[in-house]
Amino acid sequence: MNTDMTNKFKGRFGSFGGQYIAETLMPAMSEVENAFNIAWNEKSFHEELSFYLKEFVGRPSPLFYAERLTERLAGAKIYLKREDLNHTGAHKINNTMGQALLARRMNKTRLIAETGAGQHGVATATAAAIFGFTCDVFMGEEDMKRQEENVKRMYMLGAKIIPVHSGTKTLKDAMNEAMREWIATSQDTFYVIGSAAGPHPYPMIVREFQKIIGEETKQQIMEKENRLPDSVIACVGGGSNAIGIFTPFIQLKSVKLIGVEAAGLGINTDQHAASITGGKVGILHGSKTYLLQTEDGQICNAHSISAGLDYPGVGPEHSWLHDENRVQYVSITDEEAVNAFMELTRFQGIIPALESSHAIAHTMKIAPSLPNDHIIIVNVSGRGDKDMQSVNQYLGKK
Amino acid sequence: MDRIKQIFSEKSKIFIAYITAGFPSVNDTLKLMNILVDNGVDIIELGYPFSDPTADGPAIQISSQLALNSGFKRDDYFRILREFRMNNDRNPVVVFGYLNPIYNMGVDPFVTKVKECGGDALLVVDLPFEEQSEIRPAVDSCGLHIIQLISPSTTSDRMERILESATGFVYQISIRGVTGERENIAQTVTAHTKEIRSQTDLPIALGFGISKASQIETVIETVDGIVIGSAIINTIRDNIKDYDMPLAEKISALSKTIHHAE
Repeated sequence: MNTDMTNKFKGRFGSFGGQYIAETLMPAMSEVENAFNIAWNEKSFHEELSFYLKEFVGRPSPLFYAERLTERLAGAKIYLKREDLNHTGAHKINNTMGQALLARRMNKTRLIAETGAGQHGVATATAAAIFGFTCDVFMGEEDMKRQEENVKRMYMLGAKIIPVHSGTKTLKDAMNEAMREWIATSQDTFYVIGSAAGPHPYPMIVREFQKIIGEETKQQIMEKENRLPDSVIACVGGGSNAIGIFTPFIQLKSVKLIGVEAAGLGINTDQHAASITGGKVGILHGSKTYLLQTEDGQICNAHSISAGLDYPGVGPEHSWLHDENRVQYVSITDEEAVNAFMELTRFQGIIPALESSHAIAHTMKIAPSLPNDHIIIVNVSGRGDKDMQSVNQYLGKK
Repeated sequence: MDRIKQIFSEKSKIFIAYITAGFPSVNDTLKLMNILVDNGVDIIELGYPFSDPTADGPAIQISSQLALNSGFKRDDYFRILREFRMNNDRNPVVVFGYLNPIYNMGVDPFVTKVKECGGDALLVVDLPFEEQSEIRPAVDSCGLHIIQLISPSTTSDRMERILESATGFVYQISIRGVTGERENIAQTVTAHTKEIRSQTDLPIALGFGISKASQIETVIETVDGIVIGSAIINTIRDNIKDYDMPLAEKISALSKTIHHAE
């Protein structure tokens, strides 16, 4: 199993992925692919990207031994990969800096992006500000309400927020709208996709820009423990933080990889966002992947307390890693995620994003029954400042 | 009999009209199709509503959503198609939609069913030429067409490859953008039509953004057909309580403009 090889075959991960897009976008896709391939083979591009990741984003992010959480769970030894400490507060900036540098090389003048939780929108607006692009961010009306703080940040950074009123008014609809906009404007506009989803070459590009999370993690755990971890756990919506931390471990079979989807109100209800656990293979937003859909092939509305996981699809590479049995995909409910959010906040002094709280919740589930020498690394993909309102509302309702 | 070939051979200009199946309701669609053909439409593009029509503008988005809200199901689509074909053996019907509902049923069963119910071609918006291999064997074995799209952004080497495999007619997209009414039509459209013409013997139909007589008059000389969609949806929406007459008048006027050249 070799991801690089599969990518060279028309952007496929097994039978997943592909380029299911409107004819008008096909040339734009080749343009992005060619520009990426050229840049990725140039030392100067990597030097430039590394410079900004170090000096502007603040990388490397720490790998922190969560001593108190480990003691409380009284089982496995738990490390946290602190992507929440990046500039703008999440892993999303790793990718937006990369894509913005690519857009600059392609002489584009404008960035567009879709956003759910607003973290990708903020990260894109930030990249636009430092490199001098104009920036339009598409965001569902519903998400604008629950992630109001991020909306304000994007405005401050000079981005224009375009409210999306169609469909469920969440991430899926924001992505529809961004794609429509790009069909009309691809000559001067670069579409910065935030998830490891969408048509080829995006799932590959996002993975390459995010795999620095896993590369650092591998080096850091070797320094601290002089061995590989036993388990790596990350939340999966579209799956960018998960693919980022998993990628360097995929070939290392001794490392168990666990992706945590959002089970919302429960996987047996119709209110969840667990595309792999509860979905069926189909085609949306340019790629073949697991999707939540009706018996009739219409895309379902996802639900999760976490706006960043509230998406009825998943990056195609995850679908493949699932079918290949390389990654185990599990799910965590809203309630479990909020409990984990509180646990890490109260007993470790870290306020995690609700997205990342899903990964922490699963860790809390499995750690107690594991031996003391079992090392778990959890990707804390983002910080939870943006989620105060959602968590308070949820706790208030109960 | 190849209805598409037949109709293009009979008339020098062809009027292609798009409507969304199930809009405004499942029971209206058959009647609507008959209003179209009775007032001069030659080919119907029967839209298969999809929850996420990423290449469509507001009119088709809304009609698709309303169709789904009104309870449209896959079986309705095939029933409408079959009932239309019972009393009409002349006007081709192009199944227009997105891949997921087709893939969900299974490509082979879907295509076979389209053939069985009297459809003539498939136009799958999110299935560009490079991804068509999955659907091609079923379409070919049923004797249906895949309608190929050529956009202003299509590069010349791709255009050549696309046109090589094209059958039925070629759908020229007039603008870089999604479907929906526009004020004008780009100056470059006619030159683009001529470029396509130089590489294919198939008829060329022009669509996206066309709704007005003035636009049609600008391009009608060089194309073989005009596709109109959003303007028809909007006429129905604007007269939702009683759209029969206003729609008939609108279609009849557009038909005069398109067929005038004959």
